[in-house]
Amino acid sequence: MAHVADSHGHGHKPEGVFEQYEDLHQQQSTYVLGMWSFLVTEVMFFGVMFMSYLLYRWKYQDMFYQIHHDLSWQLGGLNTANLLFSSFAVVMAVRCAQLKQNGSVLKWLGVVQLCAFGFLAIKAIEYKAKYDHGHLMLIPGNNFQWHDTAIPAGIGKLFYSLYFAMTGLHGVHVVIGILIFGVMMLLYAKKSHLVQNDYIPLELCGLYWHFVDLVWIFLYPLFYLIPK
Amino acid sequence: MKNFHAEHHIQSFGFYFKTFVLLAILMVATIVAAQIPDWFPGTAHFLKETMVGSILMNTIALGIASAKVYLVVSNFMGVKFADNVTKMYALTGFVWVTLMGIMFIDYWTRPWEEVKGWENKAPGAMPRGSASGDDEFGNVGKQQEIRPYQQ
Amino acid sequence: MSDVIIGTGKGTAVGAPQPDPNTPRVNYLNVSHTLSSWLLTKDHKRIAMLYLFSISIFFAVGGAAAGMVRAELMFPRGSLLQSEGYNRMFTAHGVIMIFFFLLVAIPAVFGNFLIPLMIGARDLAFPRLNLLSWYLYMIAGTLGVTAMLFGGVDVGWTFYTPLSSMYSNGQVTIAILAAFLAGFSSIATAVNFIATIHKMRAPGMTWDKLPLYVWGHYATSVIIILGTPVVAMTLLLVVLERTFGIGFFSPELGGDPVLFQHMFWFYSHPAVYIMILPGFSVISEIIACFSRKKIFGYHFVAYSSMAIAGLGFLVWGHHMYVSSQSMYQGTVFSLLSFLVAIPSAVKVFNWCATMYKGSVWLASPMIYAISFLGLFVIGGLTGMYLAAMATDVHLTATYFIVAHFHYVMVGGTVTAFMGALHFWWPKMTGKMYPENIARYNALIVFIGFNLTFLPQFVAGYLGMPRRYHYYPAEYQPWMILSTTGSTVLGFGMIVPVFYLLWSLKKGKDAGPNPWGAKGLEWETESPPDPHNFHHIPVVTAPVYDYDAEAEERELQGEN
Repeated sequence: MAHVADSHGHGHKPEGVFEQYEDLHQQQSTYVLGMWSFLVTEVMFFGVMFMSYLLYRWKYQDMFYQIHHDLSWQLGGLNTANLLFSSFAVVMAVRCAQLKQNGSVLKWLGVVQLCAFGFLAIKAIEYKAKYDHGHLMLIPGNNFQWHDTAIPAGIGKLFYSLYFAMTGLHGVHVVIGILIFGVMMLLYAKKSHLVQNDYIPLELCGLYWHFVDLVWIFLYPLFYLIPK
Repeated sequence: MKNFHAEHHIQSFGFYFKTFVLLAILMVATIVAAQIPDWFPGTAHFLKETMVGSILMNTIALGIASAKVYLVVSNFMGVKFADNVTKMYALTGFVWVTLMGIMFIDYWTRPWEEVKGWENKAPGAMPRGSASGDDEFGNVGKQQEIRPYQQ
Repeated sequence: MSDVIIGTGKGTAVGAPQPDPNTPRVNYLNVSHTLSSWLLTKDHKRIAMLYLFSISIFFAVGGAAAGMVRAELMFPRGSLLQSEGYNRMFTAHGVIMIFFFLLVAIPAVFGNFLIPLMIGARDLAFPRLNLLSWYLYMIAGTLGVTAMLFGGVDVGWTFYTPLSSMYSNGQVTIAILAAFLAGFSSIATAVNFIATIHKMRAPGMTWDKLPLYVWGHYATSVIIILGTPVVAMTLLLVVLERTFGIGFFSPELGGDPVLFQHMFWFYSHPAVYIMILPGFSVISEIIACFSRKKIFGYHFVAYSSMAIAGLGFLVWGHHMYVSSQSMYQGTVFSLLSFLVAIPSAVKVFNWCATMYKGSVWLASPMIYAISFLGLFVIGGLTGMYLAAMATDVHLTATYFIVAHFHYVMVGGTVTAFMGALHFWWPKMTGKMYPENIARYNALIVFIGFNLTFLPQFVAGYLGMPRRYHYYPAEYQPWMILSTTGSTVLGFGMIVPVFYLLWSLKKGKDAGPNPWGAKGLEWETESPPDPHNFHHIPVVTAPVYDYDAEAEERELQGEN
């Protein structure tokens, strides 16, 4: 029994199925589950930040409410719309990949990239405004300056620490998203066999991007629209 | 179940578009809800100064956010059509992150003794800032006193 | 051998040609010999061997640090090190042992090697991710050891704020980044295990037939994906506080140090289950095999792993009774901490019941397993002292704590690791080690361990604080006993290196199943084929289908 000849029959596996899998279905559902368990870690990852936010927001509710007027809800709203639309573009790209319409996939991914860069551009405008906020610098660190006499500087710094830490981490995720969608576009443009037989790689990138969207869906009301 | 990703389960353009429109509506709703105290000064006192109003406003904001998250997770991320294991994992993260909230029992049931005057201390300074030396970041901590054990 | 039917899987029945006796059989070790074939391998068995090699090195480094600490503590006024050196040394010991040995040892070595074999898969679900996790681990380990050697870290492995974020000089930032990367390495492994265990089981391998080893690793992986990102983010916030002064954790900036402790222990208490659950799962396999009995209460042992994974997240506050945490919350955590003892006790009782009237064979893995039982019971029950708020106030931050968690971590996890190493070494290498030396060595480890840590219970109970290296002379006898024991323990850890390496060259061939164990991994050759199985097996037999009486009759018949 032990010495049975090597007879895996890789030959009759459909193209695009890696050797550890039996068939495409097993491979696809494994990939989706793996991605979801990774997204669980991402949820917990951001969870720490949200818990810190909750604690300090609870403790300094009034002052956080006053400080948040410095943030522009219009720009934040623009970015929310931006990300929501990019999420829609991603599902459309995945749908086209399922229908094997290469050209449309590329178009929709282009839309996603536009949205992502737009998001970063708006974010840059906002960060810039904080960088020279009336000749003051609101970025925590050595040069943090505060002039608002009504609100103690320390609390202002806490608010901006939370703001920059959370939106910054989210921004890093957006940048990573741009990179992986860039790779995807390259693969689709080159008609790589990795994506021709299987739409799942794009679906996984999509799941990641939706997660980035989810984080922003919470960040927007928590920072830009703080109710008192 | 076997072919849950197979061709005939590709969702229609309309399904995705409707979801997107719904999300957009919810986004507008959350913005509008947040501006109501400013646009209708009559409501400002109730919504801003009373506890009930505050709870109401926060609940609305987070409720709308949760609804948006539900839509994205179920429709865009395809959890609605996924197998049970995937559904379980999709739920697990969001449920588990709330367990961290147990720590709020702590903050709720003990006083928080602040360092006196921390909030007005020179805000530009780094935490280890003082004038007498450098650490690895060009800032100084309190000079560490190393006292040998005296018996 | 009708317990598991190796079927032809997908109907690819091909007659098995007889192997040529002159050419050695191709296995995962000899399939190719180049360095790049090891460094770029996607084979889970080779990655496991890479891990085995690298964790051994980190274990040696951490052990050397422990040796320095013990040598220093021989004398009440210190002998070797200055105060700062001592602080850096125990931090190095803690950080290296926890982040680069205990958290990864059993899952990354034996989990990687065995899970696909046990469930009848060709490989883990994501082989590239698996390799990436090893590289992340190596980068993290190198960074960590570098930080320890150049500059050092003196904050303890817990990185408590505001010491770590504001006051401590030294390479705290680098050490934290190392811990962060090590976290992502274990997340990669855990994601791999979860996807593999859910989706890649062989036909017929239902959840009811999964070896308890796989159950234990599944529970571990769930804890890793739920917990590790929390500590990663928390430590990242410490770095941000060090560099930008964001002030979440430092009272001088308006933060709360207890917030750090909450978030740190939210992970780090479940982390002790990340360390011990794989140990449990190893012990289940060994005890079933060497008692020649189906594990008693299979379902209870399996579900208790999941219960530990769940409850483990609800007890973190028992690390913080004296940290100004609200006493009301302390009460809640105390109650929940007692609850988490239940599933652990379920396991211990079931193992004992498995051995009862079993046909016990005291091979070296079994000696390790039995010493695990004794040591873990002591470690677990002293945990109850610490779960009770009133006694904890007296015992916390004393050597009692140190002894308690070493009984669980070393007496538990490291003993289980040694047991696993001896149990599966023939499978991994195809060679048998000298069994008698291994048995005596297991006894040496047991004696050395107890000699090291039992005195610490006493010293701690009498009030000797941990992390102090100048101490009142009345504690010296206990410390001398402990240091003596640690020498014996160190000897017991070094000996296996020699005889295991010797066995690679000179050991006799083990054959596919030297222990007569049940389970799919024993159905392949030793060492296994690069593709694990020649056919995907079809599982029809129940799990742990041991029958001591039948084996006995078979032996009698042979005679």
